[in-house]
Amino acid sequence: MDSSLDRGSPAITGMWEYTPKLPKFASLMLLWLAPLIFLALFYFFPLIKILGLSFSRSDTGWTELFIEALISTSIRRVFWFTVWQALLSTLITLAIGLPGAYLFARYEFRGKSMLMALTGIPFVLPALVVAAAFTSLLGPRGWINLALMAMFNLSQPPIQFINTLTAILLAHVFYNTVIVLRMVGDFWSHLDPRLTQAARTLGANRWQTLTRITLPLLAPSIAAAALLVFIFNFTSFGVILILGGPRFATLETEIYYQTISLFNLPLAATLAIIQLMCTLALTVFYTRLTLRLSTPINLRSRRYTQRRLSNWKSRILAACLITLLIGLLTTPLIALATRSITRLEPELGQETLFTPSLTLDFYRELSVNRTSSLFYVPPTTAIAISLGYAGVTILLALALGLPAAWALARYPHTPINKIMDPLLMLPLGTSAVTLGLGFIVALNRPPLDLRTSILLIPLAHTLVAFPFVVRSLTPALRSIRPRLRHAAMVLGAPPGRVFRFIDLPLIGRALLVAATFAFAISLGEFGATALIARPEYPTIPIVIYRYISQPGAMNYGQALALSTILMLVTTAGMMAIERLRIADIGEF
Amino acid sequence: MLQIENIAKRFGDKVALGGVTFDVIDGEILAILGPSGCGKSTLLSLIAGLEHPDQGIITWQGESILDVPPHRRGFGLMFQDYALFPHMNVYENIAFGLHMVGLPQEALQGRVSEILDLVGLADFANRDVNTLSGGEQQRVALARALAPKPRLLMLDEPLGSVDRTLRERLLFDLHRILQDIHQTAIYVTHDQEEAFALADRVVLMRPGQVEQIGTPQEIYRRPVSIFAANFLGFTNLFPGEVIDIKGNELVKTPIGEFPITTKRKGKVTILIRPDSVDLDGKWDYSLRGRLTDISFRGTLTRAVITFEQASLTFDFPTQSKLPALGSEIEFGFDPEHGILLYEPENKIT
Repeated sequence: MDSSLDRGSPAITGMWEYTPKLPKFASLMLLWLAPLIFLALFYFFPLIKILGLSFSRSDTGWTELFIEALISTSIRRVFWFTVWQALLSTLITLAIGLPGAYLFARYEFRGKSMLMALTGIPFVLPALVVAAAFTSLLGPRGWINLALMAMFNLSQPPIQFINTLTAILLAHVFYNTVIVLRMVGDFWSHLDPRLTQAARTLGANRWQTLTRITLPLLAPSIAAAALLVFIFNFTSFGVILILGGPRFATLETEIYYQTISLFNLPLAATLAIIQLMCTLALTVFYTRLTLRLSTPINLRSRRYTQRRLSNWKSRILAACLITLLIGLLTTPLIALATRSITRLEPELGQETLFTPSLTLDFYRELSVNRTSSLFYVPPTTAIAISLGYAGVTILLALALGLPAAWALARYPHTPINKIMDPLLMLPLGTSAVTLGLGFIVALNRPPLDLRTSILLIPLAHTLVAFPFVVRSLTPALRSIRPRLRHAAMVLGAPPGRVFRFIDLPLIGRALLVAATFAFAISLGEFGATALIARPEYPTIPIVIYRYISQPGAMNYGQALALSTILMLVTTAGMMAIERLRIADIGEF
Repeated sequence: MLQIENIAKRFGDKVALGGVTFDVIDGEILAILGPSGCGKSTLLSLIAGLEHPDQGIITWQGESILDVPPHRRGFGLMFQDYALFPHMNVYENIAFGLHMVGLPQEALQGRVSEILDLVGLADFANRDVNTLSGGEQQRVALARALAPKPRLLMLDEPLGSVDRTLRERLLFDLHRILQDIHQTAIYVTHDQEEAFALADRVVLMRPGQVEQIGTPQEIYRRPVSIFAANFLGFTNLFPGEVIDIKGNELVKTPIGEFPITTKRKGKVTILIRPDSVDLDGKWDYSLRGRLTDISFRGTLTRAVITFEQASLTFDFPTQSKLPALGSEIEFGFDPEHGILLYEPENKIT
């Protein structure tokens, strides 16, 4: 989003577009070929198969199933809760994110890039880790409850956080604030400040300037960010399941519940389709909006739009905002890390005098198979397995994402792209459980018998990572001014070498961002992996979940320890790309 | 060498070029001059092969090059905004074209330093192109285009974004460099000063079409049309009439009747050149009017003189003694050089 603008205004393309030898349609189809085959085989085919199978199990026709689902009060309640919590989460996220976006957009201050990097971390954390982080801060044995209990000598934790709506909302805000910060902040930072200055000289006061000039100009970017946050909240799984508990059900958790616990596949499939329709509608709307964002008005290089924090008012505002952001985004993570090295309870059989103390036991215990479990896998092995899967996912996602991004960037307004653009986002809006089940029932016979293949999990992860990869690469490719390619051509570079010497180096950073997304998603993916992973080859989240679902302080501690490791690995990845000064999570 | 024949190109509904014909002679600098949006840049992208014409043919030494892809045409193109590769330093930018033709390392290095010397950037090889000033970037872009010794160099508004003082100097440098290496070049600009200063010949364009081709002197002395005259900044245009009195042709103008040699008859549009006057009484005809406005233009002073029927703009040498604003002025006029006749046009007032 950034780099192009800092080099000057976007070039007018039309006049200089090189007419390639292949007709536009043919080259477009060629680019879409691999991504389309991939989506057809590993998304649509499993999806249709599982939906078909689910419906065939029902005694009635599928229309009746829909009607039943739609008139059922419990399903309607689930649906409205899904919408309602997503809406509420989105509004709170905007309330916190917009002032932050203003701060990042208009002011230059020390530690800004560090803060930007920090805000990006929650977004790539696995839901399990986030849930663990919030429980270690606010759960019954979390820091705050422990502190209150110690202070007031209570025997029960005073704050009931887990299994509340607050927990869901807080976690969603924690996850998605960065989307508002980056999407709106980035657009805002390139908005010509002379527009508001002009309004001021024409007699508008601050409020009028904000409501009549700034907000209307920002509207598309705010709408796009809000829509994306809404989509993520709408389909959120881990947060609702673990932090919301059994009291709260959204479409996504209901699909899981109906599938895993009740084996009511027809209803699960019906819900999956309802969810899919909603996300499809939202993504179509969303991709339209982002297209509008890519041809904005009066964009200026960042150099001209940013000021220093020069007076006390702005400094106090900045200090408050920064404290709020750091508080919201880092305390749960710090709580997780510190909790994972603290022993609060004595071990079994040593119930006498015990004081909480620092310990590395949870980490040490990770490699001990105390229960002699058949499927015990030492965490080091799980980490190796996860990294292996992540590596394959990166390769697959980049190989498929690059041609797709190329097609989207080079031929922005063609009909086929208007269809493909929202289609790419669909895996994000599809229930991970449905997807996992689909893989199991669809990829079970030759030539697509992948049930035992080590490729199965990377394929599922690639499906989830694909939209992120495409959306990181597209703006970078779009930002390369066509003239650079033309200059290379005129200087004697045939098309292949133009790509090799111009496009590839210029999108190098975006490639790295995309790879990091694929990496983080693969490391953290839980929903689909839980269904398709073979027990002897678990990934880190699966092992964490195993620890969480077993009772006892040691298991809980080990879950925290492993979560901390996963957090550190993803954070290291995020920090690495921020160090390369790509302050972007890409364009979504 | 290069021949453009009846080239047409449209983008959607918009006609960018509607049948353009001209040629480029070996060793000459040809300027394409015209207002913005007249299709100059499109013309360059067609010649470079970045676009395909809808109609017409482009030949190089008699052979069509329409099917030759841009990277095999051997032409150089210097872009308006330079289009320097931001991920390469000065050396790498200049070496790119040489690298593409597979020049061996040693020869490549020699050529780059030779060309850096030519454009006066000998110490800049390792500089990051993003840190260069506008003038320096322009030189790097020129060096990059020249390095592979293009058969034809095209420059698209190369001085468009530099300020006036710098432009004067760069124009001078550019002229020297192109002449030193006897480079055939097409120079696109909307600025007549640039075109006249640099070019051996000028192609004057109106939107989508060629208006006039000639040396700068020819075009300046005799713009072929009202459009050309307007574009060159001539503003004294009036309706008039050519009458024949006993075999002598006279033209009726708002400032009097003058004898003229012309094939036109009846209604005409008259252009009165601003530079056809003199205060020293060199000419046979003298005019009287009221001096109503003066604007100082450096070596020239532009004066608006109001006559009974019209107001006209004339340029006097700044040294000449103009009377006070508002007073009568009498000056010599050279009708032979000063009056040009065109087709009658209704819109001229």
